Amino acid sequence: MFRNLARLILVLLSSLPWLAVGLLISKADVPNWFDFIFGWPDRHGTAGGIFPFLVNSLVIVSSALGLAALTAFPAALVYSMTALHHSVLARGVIELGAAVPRLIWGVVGSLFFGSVVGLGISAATGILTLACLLAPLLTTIFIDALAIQRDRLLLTCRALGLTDATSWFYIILPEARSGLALALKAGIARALSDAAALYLTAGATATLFSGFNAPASTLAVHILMMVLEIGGGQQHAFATALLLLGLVFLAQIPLILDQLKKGH
Amino acid sequence: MIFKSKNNVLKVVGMVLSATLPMSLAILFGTLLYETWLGLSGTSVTLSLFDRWQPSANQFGFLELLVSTLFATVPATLLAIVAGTLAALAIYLETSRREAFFAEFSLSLWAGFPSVIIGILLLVSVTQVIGFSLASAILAIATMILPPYVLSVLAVLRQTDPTVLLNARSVGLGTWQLVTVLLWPMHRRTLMGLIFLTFSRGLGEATGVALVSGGIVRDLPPGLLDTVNTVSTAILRGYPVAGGAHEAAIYLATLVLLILVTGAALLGAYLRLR
Repeated sequence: MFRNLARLILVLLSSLPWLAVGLLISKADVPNWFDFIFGWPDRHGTAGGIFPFLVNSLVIVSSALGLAALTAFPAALVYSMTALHHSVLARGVIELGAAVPRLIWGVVGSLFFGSVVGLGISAATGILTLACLLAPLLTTIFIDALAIQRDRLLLTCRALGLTDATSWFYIILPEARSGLALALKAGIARALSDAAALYLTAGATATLFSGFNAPASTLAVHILMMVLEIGGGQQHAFATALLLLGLVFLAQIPLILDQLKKGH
Repeated sequence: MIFKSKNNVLKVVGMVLSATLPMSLAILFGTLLYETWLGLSGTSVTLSLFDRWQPSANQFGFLELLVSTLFATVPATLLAIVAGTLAALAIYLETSRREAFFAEFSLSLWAGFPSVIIGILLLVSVTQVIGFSLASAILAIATMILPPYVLSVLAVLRQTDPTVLLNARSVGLGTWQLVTVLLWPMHRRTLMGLIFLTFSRGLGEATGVALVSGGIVRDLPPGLLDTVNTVSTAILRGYPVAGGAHEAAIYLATLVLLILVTGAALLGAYLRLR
């Protein structure tokens, strides 16, 4: 009874994402995908193409990811190299940062970067907020990637008489490179998916990125706007959603396969 | 000598850059506390717990938001925990290697679905049947929190020593007995931590819920088919248009949500990491 119930639930849950993708494909009725991807939006974005949103997404996501990695990598390195990795408090602080909902980062980002710093509703505010949101997440994945190699190699390096600095910079970090790259891909997927924080900070205009001080709407925010605010563009929203999901999958699948390989 | 000084410079730069992480958290809490205090002391509208949440009528009662949030999040978390635990156990104990790979791959893909996409999918499927309602909000939250929970539980189960599992099987323990006698006592603390972490994720879920919940509380306590307005959806819908007392109320709502989420997340982290 218990076994059968568990198996039944597993079959149901495993089929749900494929059903969702099927539903998305059936609803995304686009006559010409090339025109849709490279065209300009029409009627507040409910018709025409999505090129500006695609460019805005690439600019905002890559900038935010770069900034987040710039702080997350040293944080993970300092945490892993020092006695901090024994500290529950330090790990708790990082996990707390990762647990804060995107919506709250959005409100505070809009307040702090938008009002206090004076950047207003702009791409810059969105990028900085997204970087704050991504940094704890990247740090946790970086830490996990470094921990695997540290536990595998550090003791051997010490036994060979290498200093910790040499071991880290010449042995452990090069070995952890693929894990670190996967963390960045997870960051890309997370950043592309974000709608709540960017809706409140980077704005929701249907225009192409024209500088860091101007608003710029990403694909996820564009979908949210079409359904929540504008209405009447549901078919368009589904086509955009399908494209967004494709991009997220592209970033995510290498990470998933790597984790599955390790798990099995 | 040069190498040593280069190392020291790197260490200092690393320390400074890594300090931005706790700093950003300090800014998060500091800004929100300051703005809430500033907003509440500067507004003439009294915020009552028992009023309705009607920004157009200058009424900002939190009770209905809090009740809606708990009525949506608690059942969603329970649903995710029951279904998620069973699915994780099925992958761990009952499936072949190939089946487990497919199931995990599917669940990992699902975990990456953007919240807004889950929202529009539920909008054209579930809300067509049960409308904009508490039940739809519960499903939206459960859909978002279930896959990460299954994958986390699975990671915990895989920490079990395989020989212990093999021995338990060889003395004739069935699946249910394996769970109650071996796996639950062994991983109880970590699993409890995961449950709190999952609950905190559910509390913060906004985009998907905003698209299917209706955005208005009609009755308290809400029925399964009544429209609801959670704390996070009130913030998402209200913040871009808020001003004056509404803005102050939104900051307070954000602070309340932050306290709830961090409370649950810290408890979860404490249980898992201790």
